[in-house]
Amino acid sequence: MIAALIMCLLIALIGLGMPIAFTLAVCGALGLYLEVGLSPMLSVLQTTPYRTAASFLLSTVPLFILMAELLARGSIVRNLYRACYLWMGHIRGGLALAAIAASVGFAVLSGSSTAAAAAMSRISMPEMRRYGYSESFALGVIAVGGTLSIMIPPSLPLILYGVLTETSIGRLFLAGILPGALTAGFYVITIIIQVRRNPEIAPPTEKYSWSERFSSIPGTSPAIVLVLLVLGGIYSGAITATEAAAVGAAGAFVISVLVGGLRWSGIKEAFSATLTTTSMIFAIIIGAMIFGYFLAVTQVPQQLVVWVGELPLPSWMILLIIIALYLVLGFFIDQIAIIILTLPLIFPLVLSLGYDPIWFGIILTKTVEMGLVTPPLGLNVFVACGATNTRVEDGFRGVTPFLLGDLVVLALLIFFPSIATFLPSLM
Amino acid sequence: MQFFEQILKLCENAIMIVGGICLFLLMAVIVCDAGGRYFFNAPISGVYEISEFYLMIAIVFLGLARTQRLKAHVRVELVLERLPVSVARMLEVVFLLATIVVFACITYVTARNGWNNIVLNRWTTGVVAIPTGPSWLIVALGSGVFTVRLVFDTLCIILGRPPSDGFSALTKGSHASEARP
Repeated sequence: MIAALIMCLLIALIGLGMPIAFTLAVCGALGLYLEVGLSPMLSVLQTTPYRTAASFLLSTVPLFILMAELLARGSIVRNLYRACYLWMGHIRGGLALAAIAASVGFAVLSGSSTAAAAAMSRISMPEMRRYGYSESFALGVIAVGGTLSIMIPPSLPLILYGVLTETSIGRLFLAGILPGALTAGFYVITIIIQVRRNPEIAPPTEKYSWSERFSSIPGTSPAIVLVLLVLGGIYSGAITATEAAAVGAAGAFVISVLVGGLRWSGIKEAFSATLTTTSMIFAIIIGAMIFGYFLAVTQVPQQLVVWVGELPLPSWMILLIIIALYLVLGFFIDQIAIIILTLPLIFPLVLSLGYDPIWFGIILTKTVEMGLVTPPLGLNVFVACGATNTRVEDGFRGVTPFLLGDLVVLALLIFFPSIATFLPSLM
Repeated sequence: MQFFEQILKLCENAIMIVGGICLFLLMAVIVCDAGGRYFFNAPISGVYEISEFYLMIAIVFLGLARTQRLKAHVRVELVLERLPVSVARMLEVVFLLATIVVFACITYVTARNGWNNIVLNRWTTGVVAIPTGPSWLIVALGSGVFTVRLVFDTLCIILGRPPSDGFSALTKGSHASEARP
């Protein structure tokens, strides 16, 4: 009874606009107080925030965010984009294709989609404007390109998923590679189809000489060095994922300062943005942990698993309902918050239905990618429009064709789980 | 009120700078540890403990208050934006008061525990022993300043003053990149 009331209160408060982190903490504390009394509640409030933050594994989160923020402010990504457009700018829609290619590059370097969208807006939007690309088309490309960062490893949502569900982060990263490549492929196809149908959205640009093209290659070497350091380090077994995050952040720092034109003001901005994001994410994790104690006391997750198990529905139907739920939540709530909020309830359920935890992590990340660009709360679209001073409506309009491709990829991942599980199974 | 706000901002910024330094240190010590182990077969002992008990704690808690000042804590603004201003304000006060109660509790119990650990002179029992008391006090400091910020924001709303340099994450997209991953 108390559990049901507290759950209703949680949903009502989140819906009314109370910050999610605090709603979780307040409802969890209230629930614990009602269920077990004041002193057990205070002991949860004493240890949970401390124990949650004092986690070596979770130090990956601020470090990968820092790496992305540093890269977004130096010229490493700019050089990457330049190389891409010198090589493919002359094709119809080439600047858009180059933006997707550079986004893939940024995705391999970082795990933060809003940092990717912010960086690509600053870098690729001026070029696309210069050649008269349609504004909404360009915004769509930038916003969806940014979402690649969280599917292609390293990835912030996958790290959180791994930590919260005790699934191997290394295997999750491997599992994200093919779905990420598939997603990028569908974005390329979407661009080509759109440009075929409406050539005026992407006027042709000049063709560059071979010498110009080859001269752009040395500029990409810092990016390649960083990729080798981070991913090479993880998969050769030389360093752990946490150490890779630190090495990546340090590498991005050193390279951006030495050759990437990063100055003191940029460094300050990067550190302050990282701290803000980190506090925000950890506040939600801490709130969810407090609420998790309350759930554990009331045995709600176990009862839910039993209840759903007795439903006269096949397990694939329940899975589809769960996926639909994530897509709907993604319209309204921040993606990181959704993952942390729902996993304690949903993950045991998915396991009890007999699905692969690695595969489910990838499905979840795919729904997160889509949630980042769907209205009314599509963070990547806000970032792209905010950074380029354009209208949010144009951004959402530009994203729509790409969402169709995303839906196809999601369906493919559901019906052919081996796209995600094949690479980790080789490990 | 104005004077109080200046002092609060000063505190928030000061502890955030400490958090930033800790973030830099976290990066540096982990790289040195990994590099030492890989190249010279000489890992630095104590990195794990220092990172967990001090650096991560500082990074997470010392930025809480400033994140609140920037209104960067994630929320669903769909309904709130459509409510009459007076109702929205009343709700906001209720939200803030509930949060104040919980974080005041967190501040009190972590400060009490930190103080006890210092009085009892407790140290970790690892390869490298470090005192545990001060790290609890970092949690108390971060949560304490955060609680004061919440109280200040509540007073602002009740007195009808505009909040500090807060912004709505939904209306100013350019700031969103600062605020979220």
